[in-house]
This record gives sequence, structure tokens and C-alpha cells, in this order.
Amino acid sequence: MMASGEIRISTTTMRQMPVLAESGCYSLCLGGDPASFSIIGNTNFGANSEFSYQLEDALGNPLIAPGYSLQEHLVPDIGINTNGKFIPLTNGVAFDTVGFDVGDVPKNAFIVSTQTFTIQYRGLYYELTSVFQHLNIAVNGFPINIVYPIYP
Amino acid sequence: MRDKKHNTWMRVAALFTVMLGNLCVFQGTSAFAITRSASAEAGRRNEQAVLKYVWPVLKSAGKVGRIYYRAVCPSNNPELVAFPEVAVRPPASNETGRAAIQDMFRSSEHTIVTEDKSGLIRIKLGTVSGEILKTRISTLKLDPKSQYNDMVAIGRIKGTREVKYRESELNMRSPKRPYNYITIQPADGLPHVPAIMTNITMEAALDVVALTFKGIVLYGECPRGDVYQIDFIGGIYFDDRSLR
Repeated sequence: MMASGEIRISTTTMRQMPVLAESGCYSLCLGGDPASFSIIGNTNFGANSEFSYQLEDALGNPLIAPGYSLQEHLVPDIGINTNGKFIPLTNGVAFDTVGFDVGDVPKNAFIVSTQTFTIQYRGLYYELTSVFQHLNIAVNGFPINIVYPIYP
Repeated sequence: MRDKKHNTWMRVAALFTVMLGNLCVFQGTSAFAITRSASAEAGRRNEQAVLKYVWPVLKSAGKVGRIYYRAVCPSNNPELVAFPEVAVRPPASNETGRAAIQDMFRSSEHTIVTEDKSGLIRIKLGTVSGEILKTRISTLKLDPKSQYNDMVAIGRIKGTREVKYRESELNMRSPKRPYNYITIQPADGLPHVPAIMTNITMEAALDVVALTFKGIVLYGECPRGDVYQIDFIGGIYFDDRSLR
């Protein structure tokens, strides 16, 4: 048992472990140690898009139990973000609004930022392996918002 | 399998980035100036220096706050509304609540600290007109996403027809800032602002946001009076470690 406040760092070695049988996943899926995020969806609302990320354990099993909360680390720390907050997740899914307010899209923009994550779960902090890149772009007032993984 | 998927993502993203970069060049556009300049870094440090003392006092007293500040707005960066340098020091150990906060700013001129009946403590750092905050909104409708997320709610308040109209009358604007914002999904038991508020001033609507999410709403205004910015800090989801 780890002491409260201790940080666990997931490693690629853990990722290379053989995938558990479905019965094994059953217990892990409910609430295991978080390791990474997978981008599972993207809804375009025009000025902004909502990207959804599924929390997974080191074997890629989705973690859907309640009790996970997420802190993003967006670098550079510009614009409106949730750096410094722990946001409760729903079914282990994070919803990331990326873009601009309706009616507030600049004429031209090209903003690149890098996003990493810390998960708080049962009093412990977990640094996820995932590193995502965000692009907030506007060309002649037309917004394009993209998130893609640099590291899974 | 996972590596293959990752490589595909990387190729698509790299190609797309190059294409868009070229598009910007073809359009002859200048890049939107949102960067972490030295002024922005200084503003962030100044803000942290104040919040480091103010937030723990508010939290321990069960109070919420509004901070109004006369911003530093460099002429070479029209998108920056930076927090000013303010003389602040730890409160006397026997003080709590408003008295503690007043004590923190005892060396700072032009600082006014007041408290209203709802437990909301207002800190005014320098002179700001706050004219835009007097705007009366006939009906403020908030969708679930806005109801449960402080900065999304603030965005909706700023985006109302009345506020936009008043901005044009006052020749004011707020910087166009990008969102990269993890949102809270609506759920029973989570704090949220009402879906509809009627006949309410912008100021009062922002008070509701501060009181609902138990944090601090900051209002910064440039000395020229043409640019303002509203932020939210602290609150129920705030990680106190970020102020150390």
C-alpha cells in the first residue's frame, strides 16, 4: 500500500505485459491504477470541439469506476484551461473543450500547446504516460481545433 | 497494434499541421499573438503572490471572493491583461476573514476590502471603472455545460446580447482566448448555477458564479478602459498545491 501523496509513474514496460483475459479485465475495468488516456471521440461545435478521452490501465483496459479526478497540465499555460484543478471524471471519461467561444473566434490564430495529465484516485496521484498536442487554429475567422497524441 | 495506431495518428497530424502552416503563409496572415511573454509571466507571478495568501484565508473562513484590478496592458500585446504587482504579506496570525485580508494589503495603497451579507469579500486593487459590470441582462439562459463549469458560465455571461451591446457602446472588448478546458459533466449533487436568471446585472451574475463554485472571480481592466478580462480561480475543484 502506498502512502498518501506518493506518485506512481506508469512505464512502457507495464504496457508490454500480456493482455489479460476478459475475466481479468472485469475487476481491473472497475477501478484499477490509471496509466493513460485514449482519444475516443470528437464532436465539432463550430467555434470549438469537444474531445473525449477514456482513462485506461497499463494494459489498455478502460477504467470506468467512479472516483477518478483529472488535472491537466497545459504548456504553455495560456488561454482558458483547467491547470491547477482536479476535475471529477464520469465513467473514466474526460471531456475537453478545445477552441474558442462562439462569436469570439480570432481572425487568425495558430496556437500549439502540449497536454499531460495527473489522476487523483483514492488519495494517490498518478502521472499518466499520455502526451497530447493541441492546435487552436483560425484562418480568416474559420476555426480548426485538433488534439492528437504525441505519446499514447 | 497500439504503436501502429499511434504512428498513423502522428502521420496524419504532422501532414495536417504542415498543410495549415502553408495555408497561413498563403493567406499572408500574421500569427495571433498569444504567447507567454515576459509581461504575461510577470502577471502570472503577481497573481499567484496575491492568491497564495488570499485563497487560504477565504477557504478557511468559508468565504468567496471577487478581485478587481487595474491591469498592466503592454501596448505591444493587445491580448494581454496582466495582473499588477501588489504589496501583499501574510496576515497577522490572530486575524481571519475580511480582517485578515485587509491586514494582508496594509502596505498597499488604493486597496479597498469589503464584505457583503452573503459572505462575499470584494478586493479592489487600484481604480477600475467596472462600467461593463453594471450591464443588466434581461434573461440569462445557461445550458448544462455552462451551469456546471465556472469559466464556461462566465463565457456565456460575457456573450449575452446585452453585454456585447454594452461593449460596443463603451468601446470595450475582452481578449479572444483559446479554450483547452476539461469540463465537468452534469450530475446530481454537483454544484451548478441556475439554468435561467432574469433581470440580473453582469456583476450579480458573476457573484452567483463565485458563490456557486466557492472561488474567486477576478475582473481586470486596462488603464485605457478598452480591454477587460474575467477569470475564475480557487473553488471546490482547486488543487491548493498549485499555489505553493
